[in-house]
Amino acid sequence: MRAVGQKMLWVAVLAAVTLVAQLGFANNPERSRQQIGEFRAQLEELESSDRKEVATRDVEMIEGWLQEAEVLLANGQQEAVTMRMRRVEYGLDMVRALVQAGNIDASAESQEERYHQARAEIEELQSEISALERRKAELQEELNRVSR
Amino acid sequence: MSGSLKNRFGKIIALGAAGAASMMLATGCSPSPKSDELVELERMLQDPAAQELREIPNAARYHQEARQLRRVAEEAREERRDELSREYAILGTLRYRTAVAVASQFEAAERLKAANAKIEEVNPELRATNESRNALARDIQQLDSDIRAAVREQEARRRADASRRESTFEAAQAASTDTTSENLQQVNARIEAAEAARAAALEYKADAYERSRAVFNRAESQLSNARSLLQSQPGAAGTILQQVNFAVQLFEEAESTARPIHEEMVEKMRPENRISVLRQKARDNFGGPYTEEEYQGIRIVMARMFVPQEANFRPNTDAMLDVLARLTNEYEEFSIQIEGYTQRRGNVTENLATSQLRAHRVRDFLVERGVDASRISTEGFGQERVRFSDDAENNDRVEIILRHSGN
Repeated sequence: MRAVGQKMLWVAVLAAVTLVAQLGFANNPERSRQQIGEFRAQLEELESSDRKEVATRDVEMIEGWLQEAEVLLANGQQEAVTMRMRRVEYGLDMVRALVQAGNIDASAESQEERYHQARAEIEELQSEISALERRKAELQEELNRVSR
Repeated sequence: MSGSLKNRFGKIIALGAAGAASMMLATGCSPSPKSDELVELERMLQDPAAQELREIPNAARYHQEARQLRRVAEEAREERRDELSREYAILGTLRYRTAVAVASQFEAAERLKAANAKIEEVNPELRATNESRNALARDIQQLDSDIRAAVREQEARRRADASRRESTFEAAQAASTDTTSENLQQVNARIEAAEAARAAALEYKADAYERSRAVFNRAESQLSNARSLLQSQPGAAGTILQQVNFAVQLFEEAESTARPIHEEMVEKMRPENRISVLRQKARDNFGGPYTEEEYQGIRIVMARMFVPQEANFRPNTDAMLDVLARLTNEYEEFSIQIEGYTQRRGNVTENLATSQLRAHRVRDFLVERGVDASRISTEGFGQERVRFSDDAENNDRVEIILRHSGN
């Protein structure tokens, strides 16, 4: 008897949790429309990034979900809209992380390039120094000659 | 943003758990086969590389969420809520891939850190080598100058000797009035000497410099008259000789006037001198603390140039930009590298884009002021390499590197 009571209580708690969670998802159509606009703006911003090529296919996939969400919203399928929006939100997080990784990678590459360039400059300078030392010796000799 | 995501993620987990549990109580049917998405997510999570994600800061959180979503997807499947199970598997896959991307960021950041450290290490060596080279170049310049002075002294001695010989010759000519073939030979020899003096004067562009041009033209006129006289009155050898000798004297005078001007001009145009003068001008115009010597050139730091988080110039920056345009136009053999930067405020990706736009704005300004676009390269570094720690807005800047092209 006691076990059944506990089970009932557990079901009630879960149902309450489900209700609360549903309330979180249960956006009204106006809110969903607004959210689609916000996500689309974020997506466009990522598309304009220099490193967009690292996530081209993912951006297209998210664009597809946004379009699906718009159709579902027009058909009044609010629950399905909410699910698509969740995918879009997670997808945007992922693309942002990919783009950022690409940015840092490019910065690292650029700094490595600068380092190699500096090393090459040092080598070039050293060879120039050798040539200048030779030239200096020649000129010193020339000066001695013309001063005689 | 992350707090909000956390809350929403919590809700998903709660929804999943609640749905799965309630369905478990309500049904007793055998589960459906796993969806492709769930199979894929499980494959990813079982990959040995996935274990490494747990060790990487920030990536661990997304990895943990991916695992939780896999569990919820599995529970939903057991309750035959196939569509929900598939949805959680998709979300789990997205979270797993986010974890992988964050791990890549971490690796790239380590690479960046290592590269920055190497640059810090190599810069003093580069500066020291550059200074050694510059010191040698200065020594050579001094030696060049000493040699020229010695040569000039030699030349003056030679001229004094020649002048003495000339006086003796002229005296002998004046005493003689005969027009023998011997005299004609002497006239021709002097005309050749005048031609040589003329060529020497032209070597130092005596006809081009204002201070020597008039004397050079007079010499030309004297020589021309002497030639005419030789044709019309070959017997007047004495007069002709006087004219030619005067022409020689004038050509020599023009040469000696033009020579230092020409040598100074050549000296000024030597790359090391151009670089040195440009460095000094940059320091005078932008201030010592805002310039740094670069190999074969100079770096100019133009701080606090832009409205924060925008690529628009602040008011009253035109004067600085005009000075930059004037210098780049005056030193047209120098390449121009424009680097854009931002302060550490706002989104890293946006800052990178803004820094690139800032570099482009400066490039466009210079091109409008007549600088050849092919000399200019641009790059944006975003909020990396903060230069000013006291006032963050100083970092809304560009840095311009002018480097001699070596031609």
